[in-house]
Amino acid sequence: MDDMVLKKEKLSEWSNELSGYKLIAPSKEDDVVIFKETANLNMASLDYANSVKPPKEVFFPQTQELFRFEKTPEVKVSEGKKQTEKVLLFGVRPCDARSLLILDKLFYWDSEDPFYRQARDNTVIVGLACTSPHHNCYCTSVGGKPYSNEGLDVLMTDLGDRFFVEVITKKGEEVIRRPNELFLTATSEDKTLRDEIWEKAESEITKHVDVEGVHDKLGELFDSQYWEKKAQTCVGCGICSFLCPTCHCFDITDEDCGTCGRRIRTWDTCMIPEYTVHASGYNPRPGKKNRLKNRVFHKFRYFPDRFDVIACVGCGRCISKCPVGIDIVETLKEVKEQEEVKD
Amino acid sequence: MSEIEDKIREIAKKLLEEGKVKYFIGYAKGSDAFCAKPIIIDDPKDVDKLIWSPCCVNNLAVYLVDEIKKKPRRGEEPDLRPVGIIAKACDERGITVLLQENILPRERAYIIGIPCSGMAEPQKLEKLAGEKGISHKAIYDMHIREEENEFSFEAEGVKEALPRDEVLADKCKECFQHNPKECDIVIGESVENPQIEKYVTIKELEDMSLEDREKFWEKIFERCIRCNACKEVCPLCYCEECTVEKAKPMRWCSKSVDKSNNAFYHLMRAMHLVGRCIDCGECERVCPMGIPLRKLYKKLEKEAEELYGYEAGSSSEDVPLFAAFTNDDPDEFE
Repeated sequence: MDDMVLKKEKLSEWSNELSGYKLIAPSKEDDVVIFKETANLNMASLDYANSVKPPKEVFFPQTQELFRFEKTPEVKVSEGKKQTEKVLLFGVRPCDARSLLILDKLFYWDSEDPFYRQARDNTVIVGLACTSPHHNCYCTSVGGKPYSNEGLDVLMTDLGDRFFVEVITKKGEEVIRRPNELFLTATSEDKTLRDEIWEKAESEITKHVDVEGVHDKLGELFDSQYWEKKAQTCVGCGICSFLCPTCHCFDITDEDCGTCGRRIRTWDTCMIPEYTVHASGYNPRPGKKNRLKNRVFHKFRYFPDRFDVIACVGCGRCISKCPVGIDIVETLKEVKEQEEVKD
Repeated sequence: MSEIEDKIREIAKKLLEEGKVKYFIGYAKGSDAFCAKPIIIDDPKDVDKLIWSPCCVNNLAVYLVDEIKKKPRRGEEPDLRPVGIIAKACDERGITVLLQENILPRERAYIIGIPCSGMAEPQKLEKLAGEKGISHKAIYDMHIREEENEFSFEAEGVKEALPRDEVLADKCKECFQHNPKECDIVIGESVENPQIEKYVTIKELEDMSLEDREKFWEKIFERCIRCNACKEVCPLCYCEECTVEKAKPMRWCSKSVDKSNNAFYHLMRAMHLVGRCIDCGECERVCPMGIPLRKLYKKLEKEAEELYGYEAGSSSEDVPLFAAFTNDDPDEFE
């Protein structure tokens, strides 16, 4: 499909055309931007560097009911609800879109996760290129761009009064139906303007780290004293993992009420001691140093070993929201400077 | 400000060199300019990393609990030397509660108190920097200072005053006790405590009908992602095993993140903080979802004051609210 433009005032009309879709878009509540269901895309809050919570929860909700059970007196088991309706997820930033390709690797790995699969298949992702990245953004250091279209079905760029619209996939084509009055063919001026905006956005990303060599270096630092020093001030909350678009660990628990109940899957975080504690009471990762180290290792060594991609998209949420200012970019730079620990 | 900074470094250096403290807990420059970060140093060579600025908002008392909980390695003699710690008045009140509750033996902390007339709120600074069009690069090199009670910032060679009212943290606007008391040493002049009307910020909520108030909190709690940051930064949330984590013999609070379990989590926490919360505001500052937790705790602070004339953390000699009983205590349930 040719590149197009969509006038901002036409967002509402376009929303009406999308009658078969549940619309999810960024919405601002008390200054907190999160993705929420909306009746019309013209109600979306578009004035944000990025949402506080990544849109991963559309595919991997914080609480997922796997099944329900009941004894009446025979035992009945019913499967948890999957996402069957079509969803249009609007305003996703390129880093978060890339994170979904990383999550795909995990959720489609040895066995396919049916809940995730259904949600992925039934969702069209319309991205919005970053026009003014946050000062903690560092996507360009981990293979991203503020205007990357990886993982997106449609990429839009805000040109002021209109969006520059690029259809990336077949799924995207379905929501940008033509011919109609809404989407007009982009002119060369539109394209020039888009390029300028892209370039400006990229130049505004000033946080950088060269991740080349981090993987190997980490291998040498498993027993380094560095982790103890680094983790000293960590308070062990779950902000960095819960807000991370690529963190995907979960816990499975039962909620039962005697004769009925349900099994749920909830987000978990490797930053808390309960994450690894054994039934015996033994904890292989007893200290903050073990846990902080694990998180860095998982993103920059274990995940690349298994799936050939770094599990970080450079969204900067963990930096911005860490209560004690632990900065992953700083950590990676320090890792590179550490001396190897020999046995 | 820099005089205080120099003094902090000098004291830390002396304490560490003489081996009087095991290590020193203070503030260092954060990764961006808006918020300083906690730092723990044990080498006197590192004292130059210590800073003092309007961005030193964290309550460092949380690390004292870490220290107390540390178990020595098998066969190792425990190092019971005190830990040096910087404490603003609110932080000091937190330490005082730890003393009152016999969590922290007094001799385990060497408290360096700093009278404080308010810190800047990182989010407000960031917003202001955005409005002023300060470049991303400058955000990292920016200096935020306090001189003669005025906040200012310096970035890209430009120095500008920061309107105190616009950047002051909300908790500091409501602070009525600027001077730390339980200290081994005080740096800086004591500041006059302001005459403020307490509890104005919760008035609006108090005036709501029960139903509206319930709706208000329900909507807000629904947003909670249960990252536990509020309890992890709280120096007074020191339980070995929190009710929300307790899984044996049963779970009190499901891992399901929904308004009912989230409300349980927050109300349980609030109930455990009555007469203990010292309004350091850390829970609200760190909450990524913007939950106005201080409003919840402020209400309970008010109850404790009105019913029992009790003020949390005002003296280490006070018997904790929940440990005290007199025949004159109000007893509405009679």
